[in-house]
Amino acid sequence: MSANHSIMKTIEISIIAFLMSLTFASCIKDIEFSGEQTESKLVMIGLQYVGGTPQLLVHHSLFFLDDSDDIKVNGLQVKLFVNDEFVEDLTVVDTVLTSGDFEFEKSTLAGRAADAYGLSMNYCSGEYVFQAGDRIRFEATSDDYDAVTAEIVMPVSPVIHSFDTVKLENIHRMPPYDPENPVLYPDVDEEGNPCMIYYFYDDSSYGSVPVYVYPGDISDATIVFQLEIDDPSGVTCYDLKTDDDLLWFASNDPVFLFEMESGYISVFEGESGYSSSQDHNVFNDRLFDGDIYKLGFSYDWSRSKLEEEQVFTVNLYQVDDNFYQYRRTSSTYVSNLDIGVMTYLIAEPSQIYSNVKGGIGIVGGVSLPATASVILDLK
Amino acid sequence: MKKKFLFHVFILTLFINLLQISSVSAQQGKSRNFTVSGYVTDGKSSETMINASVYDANTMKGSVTNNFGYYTLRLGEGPVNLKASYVGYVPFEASFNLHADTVINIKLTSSVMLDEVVVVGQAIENNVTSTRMSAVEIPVMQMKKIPALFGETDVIKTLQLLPGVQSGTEGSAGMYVRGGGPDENLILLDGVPLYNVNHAMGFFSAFNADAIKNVTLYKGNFPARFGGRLSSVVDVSMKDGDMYEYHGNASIGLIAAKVNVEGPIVKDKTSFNLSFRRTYYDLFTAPIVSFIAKRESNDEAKAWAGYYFYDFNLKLNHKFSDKDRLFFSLYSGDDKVYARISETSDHSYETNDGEDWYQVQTRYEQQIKINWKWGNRIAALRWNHIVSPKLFMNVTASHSRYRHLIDATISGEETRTVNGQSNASKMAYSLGLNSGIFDYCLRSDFDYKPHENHDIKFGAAMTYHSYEPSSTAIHMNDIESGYGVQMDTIIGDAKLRALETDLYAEDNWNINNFFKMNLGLHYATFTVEDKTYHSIQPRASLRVLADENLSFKAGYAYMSQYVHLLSSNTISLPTDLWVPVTDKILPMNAHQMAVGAFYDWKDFEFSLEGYYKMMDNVLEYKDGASFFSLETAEWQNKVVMGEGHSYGVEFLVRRNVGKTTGWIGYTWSKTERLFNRPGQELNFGEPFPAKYDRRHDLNIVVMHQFSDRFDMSGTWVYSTGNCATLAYQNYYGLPNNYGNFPQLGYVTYRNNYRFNSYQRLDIAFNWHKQKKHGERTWTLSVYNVLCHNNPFLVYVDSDYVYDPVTEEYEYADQKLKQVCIFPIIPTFSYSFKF
Repeated sequence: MSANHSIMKTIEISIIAFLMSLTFASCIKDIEFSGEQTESKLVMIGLQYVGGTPQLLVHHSLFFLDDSDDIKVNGLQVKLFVNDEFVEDLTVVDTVLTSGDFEFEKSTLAGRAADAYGLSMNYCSGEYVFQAGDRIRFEATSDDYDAVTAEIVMPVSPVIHSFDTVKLENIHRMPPYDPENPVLYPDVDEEGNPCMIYYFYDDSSYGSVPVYVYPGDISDATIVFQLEIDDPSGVTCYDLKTDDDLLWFASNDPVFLFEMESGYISVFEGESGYSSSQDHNVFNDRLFDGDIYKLGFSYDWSRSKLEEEQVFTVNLYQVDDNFYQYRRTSSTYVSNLDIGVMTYLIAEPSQIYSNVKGGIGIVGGVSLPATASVILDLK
Repeated sequence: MKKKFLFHVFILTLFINLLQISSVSAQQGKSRNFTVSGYVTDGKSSETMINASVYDANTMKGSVTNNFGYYTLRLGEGPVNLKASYVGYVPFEASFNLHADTVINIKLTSSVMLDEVVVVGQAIENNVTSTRMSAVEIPVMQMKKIPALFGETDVIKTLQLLPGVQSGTEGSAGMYVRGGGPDENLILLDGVPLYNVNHAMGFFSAFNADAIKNVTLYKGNFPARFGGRLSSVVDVSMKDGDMYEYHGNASIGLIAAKVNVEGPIVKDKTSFNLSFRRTYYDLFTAPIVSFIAKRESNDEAKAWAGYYFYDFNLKLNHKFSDKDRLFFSLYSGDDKVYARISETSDHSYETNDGEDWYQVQTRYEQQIKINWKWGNRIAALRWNHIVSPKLFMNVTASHSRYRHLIDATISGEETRTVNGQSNASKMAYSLGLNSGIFDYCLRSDFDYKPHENHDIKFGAAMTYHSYEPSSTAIHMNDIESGYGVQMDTIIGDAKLRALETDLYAEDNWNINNFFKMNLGLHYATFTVEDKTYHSIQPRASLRVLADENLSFKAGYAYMSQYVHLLSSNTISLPTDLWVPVTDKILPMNAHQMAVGAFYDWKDFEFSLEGYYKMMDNVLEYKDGASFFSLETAEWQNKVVMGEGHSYGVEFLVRRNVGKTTGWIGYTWSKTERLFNRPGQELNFGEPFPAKYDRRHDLNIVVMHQFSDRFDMSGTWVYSTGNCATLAYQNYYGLPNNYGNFPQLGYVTYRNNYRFNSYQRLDIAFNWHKQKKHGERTWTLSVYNVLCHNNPFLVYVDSDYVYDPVTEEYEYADQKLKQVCIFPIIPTFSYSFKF
């Protein structure tokens, strides 16, 4: 009996070990790249603003298995043409003049490059002030790369038909925080009903001390805005910016259709609209070309304090279609990178739009903003 | 315009053909033709035989049996030398004088039983003489001998070894036929569509070979009776069950055990065939999971989790009379993931209320229960009735269901004891996700033999589809814990209901000794969301017989498809979902033309075919779309419609008889996609290679029987690597508002990178021994004998290296990594046949 038991045990362990070995037998190995190795390309990136001057960053791409971080282009010359007429040669400087230092304002492309990574790129700037309707073309030549060009038409300002609140419900005024008498865990409101308590923290203070207390269920509170856009006929793309951080668009808005995955708005799902970061809410007019479009949204104002007289401002820009296509495709690409290796199994690949002929990158145009405000009296 | 013209020519030809039938039928009375009809069955088990050849050797007029083993011949009065043959059976022969309509039920004897070399007689509808092209039939006995992954005989993977059929990723049971997608295959089990043919994420197919009688694959040139898919039809018939004796077969392999039993319920009247297969891998892994959970949680957690799949096949067969027969087929197969986790944690701490310190003890108990299952069920009731010797009727009522269910519950109880006083709070959450497709179908098929030169099939079908894209039931109750959450709701997409109707007619017309045609027309309608789609689908094929061993064939087929599968191209996930066409997503259509030469030499069959296929409204996911999502809402926004085309050349040499059997198949093909409709562009509107565009596919399958006690088989597979998309150049994009420059990849075009080529050698050895109560077989099967590292996926990776200069860790040494999931896999299995 004992022997039989031992034999059976041995067999069982052997089978388990065998199965486990099979499970772990799948292997990962390094392989040589056997495809056609593509040549490095000249990369040109930069947003041009109406009323602003030319700003470009130029570097060269790296083969994906290349560990080098040398992306600077030698002998770079960039010419600006406006409406097919030569205007100026852009000034080309290194974004990092001395290691570890940068001398550009952070707001400039060069400053950002130096500040972010110490990236040594070629920063190109000029004096010409862009006008709406200008057809501009950058031509870049260098010692080691073929010439590249990028052409855009500077967009005109959009027209805001109206901007107002359309829904205002359950807004409670926040009582000031009293450090002398902190109420940390009240479980009833003044009327003895269960309620949700939200604490707002002053980010600037150490230790995240609560500075505001909001009684009542914040999910009941609603402020919905409506922005009416007077859209011209033809392809028009927009960028909507607000004073506040985040906009929540109406979930049934045909322009902004969101797919909530892992709690983030991550995938460009709608046909036209896109919002990836707090920076840009880019959309086009494919679904409302030539009409007045009513865009409904609310601020994610629960994250910030409300003033007694709160001013909500929107800035609506027109952006050129190239920039829209770039934002749409690059954001999809970046969000897929977050999935890592699983990308190859569970997501389709994505290609990033480029309008740089002969090279890679994006040169986009942004109009002057159309601005509108709503003043909300919360007294 | 040109298409319309061709279509009119086709209709005219069909009309003339029908006129000729009428005229010839009118003359029949004068020439006194009679009908010879009946069933062809296995002499021992009475199992009906599909595609058995029956003919008059004097006139060489003949036919083949239909899916129910029935044949009909129209022959002239006088002497008849009736012959019947089937691969692996001793030919039947009977001579008689025909003076009236005659019924002859033919029983064929297996050549194995007579201890003879496998024999085949001259077939009237063979590789050369039949109008059929782009179609292959593989005997199930051959399938069982072919080496298989984990020793599990797999119908779909055997079909992948044929020219024109490509597998997906390593080990996957997905089929890509002539440039089509995996959802473009109509998989029929006893005439009922099976939606999900995969188990275990596609590594196994849903068919248990023990339950199967016959498998026929149509890659193109589809007969008019088939419709609803663009690229292939896999017609699988289940065994009817032995009418005279009880038989069985039990086997156990590396991951699964199965049993098959068949026999009479009432001798020569009613029989059954029952098969069951289940994986038992979870019986080993669940204790391991339990052990690890205990160890990792210091005995605070208990876990029991595993995965298995099962298949259940049942077939009942009842003969009311020589004219009436009833069949009932049932298939049920599920994959299931289960997990039970219970966790207990105790904490104690001291706290004060501003004045006194006191002890607080908390005990938290939580139970998590997850059941996740997905699978098919089909049921079919079929009635065969011989209306007259010339007319055979089959009526089918069927139900097919695919479902995907997740049922998860979390319940917990927290007990807080303060100064000896306990206070307990409970919470319970449950989530139920349900999606699926339900079909109810009524269908009638007729075989009509009005004249010796015409075999007509016609019929109609009506199918009611109910699609449930997803519904989620949520129950939350957390009141007692003080968080005040309570919810009981159902959310999800509305059910979509659709009605599909089909009408068809086809004629296999023997024009003369040289020319033979098959003309057919399939008409389908599909009504969904108050919108009705129609399609008229002509089918035609022509055979020109050069001599008795050589023929040339040409064919054309137009197909429409009204359902799509939302699925990954790489692996089969349980969340894969069938969805119907809508007002936005249009039906897929395909035109396919093929030409070929067919030659028989001794026991060898040769075929060389070329094809060209144009597809319209094919679907692809948008750039970057993720399909690993339990939420299927707005699925229409994830996909885009476009076009595709595929062309290629296929060569097959095959030997089905003798001690050494097998085939060599080679395919050269090219498949491209074009998505350039406004707003639906992929690859910026330029053509790109399809995911499974592969230039070369070579398959060699050899089986050899050394003796009654030992046989072996081997397969060698070589194919060009699959396509993937890789960004070959990296660059920095525009900074975001945080000042970060995203590192982006430049993709030259979609599917621009090719995996390394795929190679695999599999071998299997079978040792048989006759025992007192039956025959036992030991099988040693080795998958990927040469341990070739075949790519499953390729990705870019880099090491994290410490830079002493910057004193920071940095990514460096970018590498291309290849994942191989099936290196050499030896498998033993044991089976006993009684």
